Amino acid sequence: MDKIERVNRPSREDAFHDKDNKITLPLAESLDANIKNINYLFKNCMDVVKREVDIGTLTPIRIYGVYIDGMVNRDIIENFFLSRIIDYKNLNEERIAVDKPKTKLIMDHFSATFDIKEVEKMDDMVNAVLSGDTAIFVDGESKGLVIATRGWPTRGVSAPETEAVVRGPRDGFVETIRFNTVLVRRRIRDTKLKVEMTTVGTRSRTDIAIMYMEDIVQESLVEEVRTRLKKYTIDGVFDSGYIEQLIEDSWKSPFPQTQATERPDKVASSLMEGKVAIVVDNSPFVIVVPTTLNSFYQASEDYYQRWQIMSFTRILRYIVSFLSFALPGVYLAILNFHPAMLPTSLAVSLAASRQGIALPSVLEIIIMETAFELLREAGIRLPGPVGHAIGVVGGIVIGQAAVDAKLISPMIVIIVAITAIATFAIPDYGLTAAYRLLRYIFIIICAMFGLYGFLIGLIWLLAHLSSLESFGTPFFAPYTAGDRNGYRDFRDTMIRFPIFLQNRRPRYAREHQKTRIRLSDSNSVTETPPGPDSAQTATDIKGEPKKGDE
Amino acid sequence: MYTHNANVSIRQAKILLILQMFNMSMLILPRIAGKIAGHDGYMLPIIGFAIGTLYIWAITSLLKRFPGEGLDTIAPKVLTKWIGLVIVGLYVIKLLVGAGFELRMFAEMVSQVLLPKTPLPVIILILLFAAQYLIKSGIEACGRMAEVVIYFVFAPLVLIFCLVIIKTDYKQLLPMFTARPQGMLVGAYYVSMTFMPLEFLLITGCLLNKPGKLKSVCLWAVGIISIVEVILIALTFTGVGMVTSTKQLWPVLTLMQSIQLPGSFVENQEIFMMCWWIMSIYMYISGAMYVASLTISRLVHFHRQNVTTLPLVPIVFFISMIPSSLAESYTYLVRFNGQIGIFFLFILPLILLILAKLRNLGGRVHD
Repeated sequence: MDKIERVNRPSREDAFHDKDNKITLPLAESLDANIKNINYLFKNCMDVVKREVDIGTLTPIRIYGVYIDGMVNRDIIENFFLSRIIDYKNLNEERIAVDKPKTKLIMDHFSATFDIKEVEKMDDMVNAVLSGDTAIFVDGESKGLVIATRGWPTRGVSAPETEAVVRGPRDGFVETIRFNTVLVRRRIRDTKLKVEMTTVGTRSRTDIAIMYMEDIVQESLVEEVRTRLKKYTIDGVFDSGYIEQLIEDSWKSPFPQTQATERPDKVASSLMEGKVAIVVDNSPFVIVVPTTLNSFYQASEDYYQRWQIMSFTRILRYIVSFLSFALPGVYLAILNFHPAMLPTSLAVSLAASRQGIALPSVLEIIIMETAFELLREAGIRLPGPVGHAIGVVGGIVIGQAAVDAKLISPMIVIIVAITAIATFAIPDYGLTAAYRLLRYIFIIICAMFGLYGFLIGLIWLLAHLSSLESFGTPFFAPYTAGDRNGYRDFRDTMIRFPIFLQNRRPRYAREHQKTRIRLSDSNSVTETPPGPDSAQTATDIKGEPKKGDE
Repeated sequence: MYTHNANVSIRQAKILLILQMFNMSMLILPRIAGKIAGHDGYMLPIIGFAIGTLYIWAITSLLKRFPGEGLDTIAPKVLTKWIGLVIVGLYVIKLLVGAGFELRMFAEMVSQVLLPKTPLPVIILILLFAAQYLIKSGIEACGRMAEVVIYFVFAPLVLIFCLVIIKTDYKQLLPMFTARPQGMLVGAYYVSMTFMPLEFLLITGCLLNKPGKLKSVCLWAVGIISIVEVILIALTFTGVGMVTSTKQLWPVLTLMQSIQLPGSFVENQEIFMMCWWIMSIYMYISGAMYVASLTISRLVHFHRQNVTTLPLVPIVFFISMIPSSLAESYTYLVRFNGQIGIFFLFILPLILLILAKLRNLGGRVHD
């Protein structure tokens, strides 16, 4: 009973805030009352700039401006607002008739910017100030004005660090939400691209943009995203990782059920497939939903290069991802339980390499894998050059020393090295992390039950993945339920079909918006390959031979 | 409720049925076929298919008459409440006993091929918990899993077939038509017991997203399995020898052991091949446990239907530990399937169908 009461009690409620930390104070007509409230709310906030100004001298209008130093673009305030007020005082005061609400008057005559709006709540005024806008309180009006003056220091657009490509655009998302939405909109110049704004976090008030193609996306998916974003009230959101973990389907799974990407081109193409993107302020990672296991193996570059090469690469990715979690376990299983499976020469060679090693093979592998994880973690935390040195020292020097000291066998070093390389060949970091964890489970189960254990582990993994969904889409799609879209989604799986054959949008898109590619002079889907029209003759293409060409 | 929506697509239903039918019985099928029909054993699945169509007819006709319903509601309606409940109870017991014996045979096989030193209870429990993990997510997850597992099961099988075909002694299939018709019929009946998972449809038939296609799903699955059985029996006879097949407990396993891959990196590859077989057995055990669990949940009207999955683990475990030896577990499995299986596969659906017609019960009357 106590517990229930504790849970229900609003933790942040006080005289001026409700339980969601929204300001309950009204926007008063009296400027003095508003100033008093603002001073109370921003007490001890030395970074807040507040100034009272009179507009005009004949019938002065008292206004009170508030903004946060460093978060605003002062040029906008000074050049497009304050300078006009001063000009008015000095030059043309008598020309303007005060015959409408003062806020309207200010908007019409003293603001040289489009981005100014009336606001009716104190909470909105304060929130605007905290977001980098400038709030103007007007005496005698129960409405205030908010001028968009955001202008804090930002990081410039740079190449994505986790999804580098050889061929393809080099711009990546940054920490500023508006830059990120622009990076996507630049790629889709369509009014059907919608950007819905919302905020999450009672104290952080983090801006979140929900992006989707209005006519392609399933409306139920957008609604589901909206619902899940509203499900929790949290005090602060500092990265899209928070949102990802709050909206995912299964919190128990180590597998990511949303796709986090730094690449605007990836988000743009996902939107065109009928997915929804969630852009979170202060995070360079944009979340894309729904996602499937298959989509984690799709890199942006796959579509920019020839299909044969990229299909080969994709198959390789699937193989290495299997190796990344299974190889150490299978090695242990065969070595300890089924050595008869190996050719005699190899079995003898393996046995010889383990001669004099005191540790059991399972312990060897666990020690080496853990050492590798430590090196990886240390490499990330340390500055670039030092990180590289750690890699060299750890990987080569310590590895060699451990082999020489007969602590581990050379074969273990090879296995761990192959596993490590395999891990980094997977395009998605979240998936890699899941496989890294799985590797330990497979090592233990294979050490206990050999290949039977491996099979049971694999069955467990498949059962888990089969039960997973991402916003209603099976995680295994299109390998499962592939018939739903007429098996066409298979064209972008292990084999990346040529672009002209990927003529239909995947299962996420609305039924009447499935056509992605058609011949320009036709309304129907086509699978006509590019190149000269087969009906054309060589003469048509090259032109009539001219006299003298022969 | 189970975690997800409880329905499967036509494709998933077909694959599920195929995998569930492709169980331990397959490993012993050539032995039974050879014993009963001699060199003509490979023809038994063809007659078995004909018998299978009778099972399909009985089950699908019953379910068609009561759209959206399963045995748990049909039996009490047709046979009066208490008799119906007893029948449904027996059905659940049959499923669990069948799964238990199947599991025991499977564990014996694993013990022989993969883990000779590991105690049988450990082998059994690991698989049971893995099955419980899948079925708690419902039939949708089972259907998806089947779509993936089918590649793991049938790809090695095709490889085996290809390798065996090269070195087979086709004289082992001769002389033809020597078996007595009566023997052929008995043999075909035993072979038709591999279609036992059709009985799952008495509960899960209404979970198809297109229930009208249930009959074609069953025919498709039974047809594929019959073809695989013909090939498997024929290849085992030609690869191992018909007489040897009748003397081996698992002649298919012997067939796999006989394969030598020239220049292969791996020796004793039957271990790998058997590994993939495990997945098929797993699908059967999961299927039986899922249907039993769902039936119990429906009978007692549990809101969260998957709460009944975990208590089934110890029950199936103890059933699987009943036979005292490998020979006894084999006898139990064959006798149980041969003598009890037919009741829920054909006799009960037929009785219910006839009674429903006589009593004017079921959807068609209202139509």
